Amino acid sequence: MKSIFNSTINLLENTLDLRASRHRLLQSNIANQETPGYRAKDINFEQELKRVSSPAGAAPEAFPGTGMNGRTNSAHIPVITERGMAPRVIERSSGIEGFDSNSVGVEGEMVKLSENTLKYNISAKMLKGRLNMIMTAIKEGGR
Amino acid sequence: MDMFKVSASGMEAQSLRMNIIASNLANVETTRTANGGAYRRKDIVFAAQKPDFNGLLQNSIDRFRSGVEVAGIIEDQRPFKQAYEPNHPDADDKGYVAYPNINAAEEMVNMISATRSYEANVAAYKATRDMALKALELGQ
Repeated sequence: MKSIFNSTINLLENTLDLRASRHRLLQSNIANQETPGYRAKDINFEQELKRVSSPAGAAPEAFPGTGMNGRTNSAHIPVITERGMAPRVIERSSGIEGFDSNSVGVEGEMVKLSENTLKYNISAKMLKGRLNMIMTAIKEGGR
Repeated sequence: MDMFKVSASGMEAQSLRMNIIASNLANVETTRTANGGAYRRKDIVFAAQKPDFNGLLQNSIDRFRSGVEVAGIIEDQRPFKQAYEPNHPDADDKGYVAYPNINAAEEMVNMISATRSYEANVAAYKATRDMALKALELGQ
């Protein structure tokens, strides 16, 4: 049986989660723009979205390459732990590192932050539209 | 640590830095202090906050992100400026007065930098708030 919350809604949900995670990292970069030794942190959004959205991609890869993700039988339900869901954090380096080896370039961070916020808002709007469509089907379908 | 606290820590750190700069500028010619001698230029040291225990238990994002904190306020060890003013009450026996090791232009540049950093944190805070409001709208 298909759920009324189809794959579009799942995709938008994952998008919002990842955008919020990325926002937290960018915010931390901005707060630490003048902390000596601080390295700018980020996630590779497209890669992580692909990973989280693939059916078993969310499970930790205990046996990489087998495609089983630690299961002994492909009929078993894949283990999805919260830690496995967490996106991989990468450290970004920029060309403008000073003597304090801080790799935050505040202009770049602000651009990324506003881009990320805008895309979050777009995704939220799309999700809202999607939910409204379901609501319309529920309410108006019987008339 | 929640989303708003990170930006708040940035704002707090920058406003403390602003306080220090204001103090340096106010005391640019102070020759007497409680410790004796001229005023020494103060500077601020920032450090990234360590994630708290709860943050370590959370998913990986909270282990990597951190606010900023003030690790300490240090005194600039550059030598005092010497001026030949034999009539000054704080002049030494050769007639030289030690003035604070403060360069007003340097402090002004520092001040602009602090203002910009503060504004960046305010912008990040506003973005966070907008996102939270958009998420709330989902239920309507």
